[in-house]
Amino acid sequence: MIAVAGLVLAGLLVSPAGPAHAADSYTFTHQGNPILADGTYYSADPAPLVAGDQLYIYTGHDQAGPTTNDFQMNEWGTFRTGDVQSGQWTHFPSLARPETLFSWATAGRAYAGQVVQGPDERYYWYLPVSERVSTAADKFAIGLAVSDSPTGPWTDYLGGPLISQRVPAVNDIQNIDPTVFVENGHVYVYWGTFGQLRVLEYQADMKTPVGTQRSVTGLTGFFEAPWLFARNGTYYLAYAGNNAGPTSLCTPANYHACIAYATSSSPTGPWTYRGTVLAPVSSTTSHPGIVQFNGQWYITYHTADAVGGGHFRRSVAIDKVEWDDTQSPPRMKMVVQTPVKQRDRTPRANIAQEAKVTVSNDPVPTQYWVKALNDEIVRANPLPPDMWGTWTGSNPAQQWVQYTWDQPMRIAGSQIDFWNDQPQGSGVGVAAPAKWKIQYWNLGTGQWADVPNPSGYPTSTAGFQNTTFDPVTTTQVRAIFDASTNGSTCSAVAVEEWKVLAAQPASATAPAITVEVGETDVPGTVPVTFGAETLQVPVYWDPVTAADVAEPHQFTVKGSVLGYAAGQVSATVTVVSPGDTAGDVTAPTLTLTPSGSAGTGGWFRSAVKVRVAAVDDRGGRMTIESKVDGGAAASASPVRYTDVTVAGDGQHTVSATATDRAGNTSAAATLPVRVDATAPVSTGTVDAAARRVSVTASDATSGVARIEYTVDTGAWATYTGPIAAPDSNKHTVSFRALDNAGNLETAKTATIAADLSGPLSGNVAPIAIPTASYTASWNSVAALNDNADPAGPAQAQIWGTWSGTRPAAQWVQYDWARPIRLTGAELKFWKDANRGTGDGVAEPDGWKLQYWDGTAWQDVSGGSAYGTSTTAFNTVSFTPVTTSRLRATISANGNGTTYSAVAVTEWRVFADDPGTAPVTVPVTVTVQPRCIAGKAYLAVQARNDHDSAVDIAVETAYGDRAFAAVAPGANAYQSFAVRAAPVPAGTVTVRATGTVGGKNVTTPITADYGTLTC
Amino acid sequence: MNTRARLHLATATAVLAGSTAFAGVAAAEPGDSSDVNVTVDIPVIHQPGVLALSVAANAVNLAENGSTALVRQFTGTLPTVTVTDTRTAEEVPAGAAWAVLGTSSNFTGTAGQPAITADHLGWKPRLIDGGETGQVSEGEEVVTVLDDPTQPGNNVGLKDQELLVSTYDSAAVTGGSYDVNADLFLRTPADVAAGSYHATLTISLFE
Repeated sequence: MIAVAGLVLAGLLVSPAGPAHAADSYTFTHQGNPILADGTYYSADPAPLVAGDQLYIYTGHDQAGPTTNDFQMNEWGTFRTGDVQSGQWTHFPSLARPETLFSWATAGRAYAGQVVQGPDERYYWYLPVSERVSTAADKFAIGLAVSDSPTGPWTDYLGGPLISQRVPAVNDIQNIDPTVFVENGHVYVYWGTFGQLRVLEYQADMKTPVGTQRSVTGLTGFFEAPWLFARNGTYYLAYAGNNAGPTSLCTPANYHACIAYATSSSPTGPWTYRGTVLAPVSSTTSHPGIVQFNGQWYITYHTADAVGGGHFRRSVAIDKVEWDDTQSPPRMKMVVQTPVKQRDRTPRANIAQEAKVTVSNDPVPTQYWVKALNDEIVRANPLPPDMWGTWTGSNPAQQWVQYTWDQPMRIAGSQIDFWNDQPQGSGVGVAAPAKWKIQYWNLGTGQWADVPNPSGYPTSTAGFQNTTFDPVTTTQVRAIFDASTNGSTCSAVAVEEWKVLAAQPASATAPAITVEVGETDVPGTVPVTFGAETLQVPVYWDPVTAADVAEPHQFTVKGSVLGYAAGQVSATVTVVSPGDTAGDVTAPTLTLTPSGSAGTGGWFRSAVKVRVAAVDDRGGRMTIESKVDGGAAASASPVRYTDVTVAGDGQHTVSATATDRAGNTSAAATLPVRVDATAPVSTGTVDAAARRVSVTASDATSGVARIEYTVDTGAWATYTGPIAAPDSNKHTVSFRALDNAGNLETAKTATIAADLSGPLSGNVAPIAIPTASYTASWNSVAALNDNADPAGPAQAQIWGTWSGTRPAAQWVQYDWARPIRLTGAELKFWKDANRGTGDGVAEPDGWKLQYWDGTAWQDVSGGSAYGTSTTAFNTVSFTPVTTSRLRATISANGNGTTYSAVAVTEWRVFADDPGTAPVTVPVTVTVQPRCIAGKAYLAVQARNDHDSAVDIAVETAYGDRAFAAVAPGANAYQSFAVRAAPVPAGTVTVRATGTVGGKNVTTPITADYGTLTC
Repeated sequence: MNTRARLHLATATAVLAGSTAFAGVAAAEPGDSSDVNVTVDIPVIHQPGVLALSVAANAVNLAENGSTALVRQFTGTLPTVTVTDTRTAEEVPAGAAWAVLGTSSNFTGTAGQPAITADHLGWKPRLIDGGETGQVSEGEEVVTVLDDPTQPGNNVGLKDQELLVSTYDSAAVTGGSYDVNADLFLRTPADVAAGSYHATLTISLFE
């Protein structure tokens, strides 16, 4: 179930529905899934029932428009068959509607129900509906209808809900998705959604509870859609699970669901999780119904696979469930969904669907699905799993997507479809990028390069955005997105689909092909010529049957060449007998081709697949032996190629030989492969005293090429030495290392704290830590001092306090690292409601500033008027006060009963502070080892930079010397006899004592010297 | 008993680079037919400056002063040593720093008594006039082999060259004259043979 906000106003007039009759049914024949695939009727939430010799699949009816993201379900129906394999189904599209079946229910929301046969042989239909009159917070309820026939007519069995938030006992869950199991006069009902599952037993009358409902646990990842059944004394509870993530056994992306199951020896549990039985389907929701019919177990579920289908236009499917009875209790094997997806062999220029995808934000946030990038599906109203996206709480300035093909392709264009929920420039949510560009891997230079002469990089979110460029031949291409920003934060990027279009050759012709008898896997590349360049491009042949290659002869096969849009190509296939080897004395020839994510310097940045392909003059298949480094040789036979995977960082060698049917063996062919798939690791060290960051990096395999850094949001620069803070403000230094293979480390950051020792003036809010009495989850207390005051701020760009309970006062507070002399402050309020409403966010009644005196809050004195404008800054000046904390307490406006919330876009505080620079005696020390007449001395000089005389004491390894009252600008100097031939490196200490600010101060200064040999 | 030490003083002057000035040349253009005024400017020949060392006297007597039951001590004062630098700052080689070192021979008995080795003679240089810069300083005290060191390893006497005075930076102190002397002290065991001794203390200037 997806929570969806918003109203859909449809101009459709529905005439009052009359009673549904079995006579409304019609019969159709359709092999395979979905059961009804033509898009004339979308059906969801299947619940199978075997009655007599017939299988019924009860469903809801999805009636959402193609661009509507809502479950618009107004009635229930059923599909009936006596033989699943026949594909002959009778459809009863409208057996019941909530508002006509149940006088107490509203129309719509005809959600997932189930029909069971009661102990009295009658049919009982448990149906979730929405109660028309209810004081419950959630008005969903489960009604119960009864009929003597599986197809009705149905009547209300109870005259009210069987289960709701009020009956049979109070609960706080959404009461939908019932599953019912009847056994020996006992009736077990499980129901619930959003991770909440309840169970309650009923008497044989189907309506009188036995005991009280209780929560069910032990179901890993339970989301909704329970389905209870039994087989050979074991009870099975299948359900939709949504535990998502890159390592989840259920689903990689949020929103999508798998069907998982648990087992028990009792229909009421306890339950033991047993894994997944059905992988995520093409619709976001998934819903199981499992039943045995005519000796075969089946699972019914729904998908988005019908014509015009979608997440809210689902269609019911059925597939076989196979059992693993070697385990105890027996397990369900993973369901094989039919029909198995066939490669789309329509000739077209797009080649993205055959590329391997890598992205900058791996692991991708779990609501997004990277597979959506090149699945060639663009939905009218997509959900997050229909796109690749990057949104997290903090979005970087740049993201990228990369496609890699196994072989060089010639490309000349791109089509990209961006998605957004925020405008460009907002700096929040998901927005189209500010700009973007396409780069290709230049095979000649081994580096990324911009595609030549691009036609432009449009950023509209309305459909595919086209870019053409001069053709290039490459194995990989990437799109780099510069995130849209408001100057402070960046929006995320989302792409529904990115197509890369192949350059079109004048023609494409398949050469004659030779296969052996019985060889249905026809070799899959054809040469395609672009000017002087000929590429071996994959071709996807129409299926070749065993009959086609049963005996030596010739036939013609058609196929689609990847990226060739003009039409299919034909090839003449000659079938030869493998045993026809007389006179063959020529060995096969071998070609070794590596593919992987190419890096710089001949390195690959991923595991490498090496295709070892052999060609024999007779056209027969061969035995190919291959090995990696000194490993065991792998033999493949009879084959035309074999793929060798080279993994692990380091330098590897693949070697191979091929032997033909006549026994002629080729010479060994070898290919060196260098792999560095590991990014370098850098470490930053902050020298807080010097206010700089030192960075070191290491890379085990290809070595570190360079370290890059940027201060705050500046451009990346190459690191040459410690990065110093450019001024006394707080700075964030980002750094990353690049290795010689081109692996770029994810940037790390180090923070140099603000140097508050100096004089402070102007707005000192940005160097404070903001806190507040309360902050709404969609607002940000950090927005108070982010130094940004955009017009029409997004919710994340203001501090606000709206909640269900809104007190009379709220406060915000700044804490500084040291007391600062403050002189004034100003802030600007924000509102979305008028004064006197007692709700929303309104201009406040007033506010005041208080400072912390070390023990208590005190009102600032001499304060000017406190304005409450929401359109201009309200500036207050006050008698200067030195404090480390300032608080603004805001009195909310109310209507006499409740208060509105308050919100502030930006709060500035002004300082006039002399600074607290540490008191030091300024002396400049230089030290030099020297040779005089062949002997070593250490010459130490200290210059008095102070404005009065200072005493200077010099301490060295070779003696000390004190100088009294060294005049301003004068020096203390001493050469110390080392009395040894070489001077090792060392440090001297000079202590300068003088009067600073009326106090006697001694400042130690150290100076280093190097080694010297005389 | 009366012991006398006779100090011979030697000097060494660093060789300094100088500069030569050339007279200008007058020329007449072809085709000029009017009177020709012939003039010539002859600049003053520039005398390069020098860095020099002088010593106010060439001998000093050491007289017994402060002997104990274990050690006999004879003291005197090194005649004032003057370093004069008349070079311009441009004439001083970059990074140069001058220094004056002193070393003593053994004290030889005039009546055949055993010599007193040079490591029994120590000194404590005293800066009389180092200018205002603070960039000229006297060397450290050097005590005798009979003493405990007062700076690391400095109980070696004047058997090797020891620092009397130096500058950190010749260029910073050129154009001035700097005076230094030193307290001299000869310390011997109490059982030293009586008699007259003399030694030579050599003062050298380096840059």
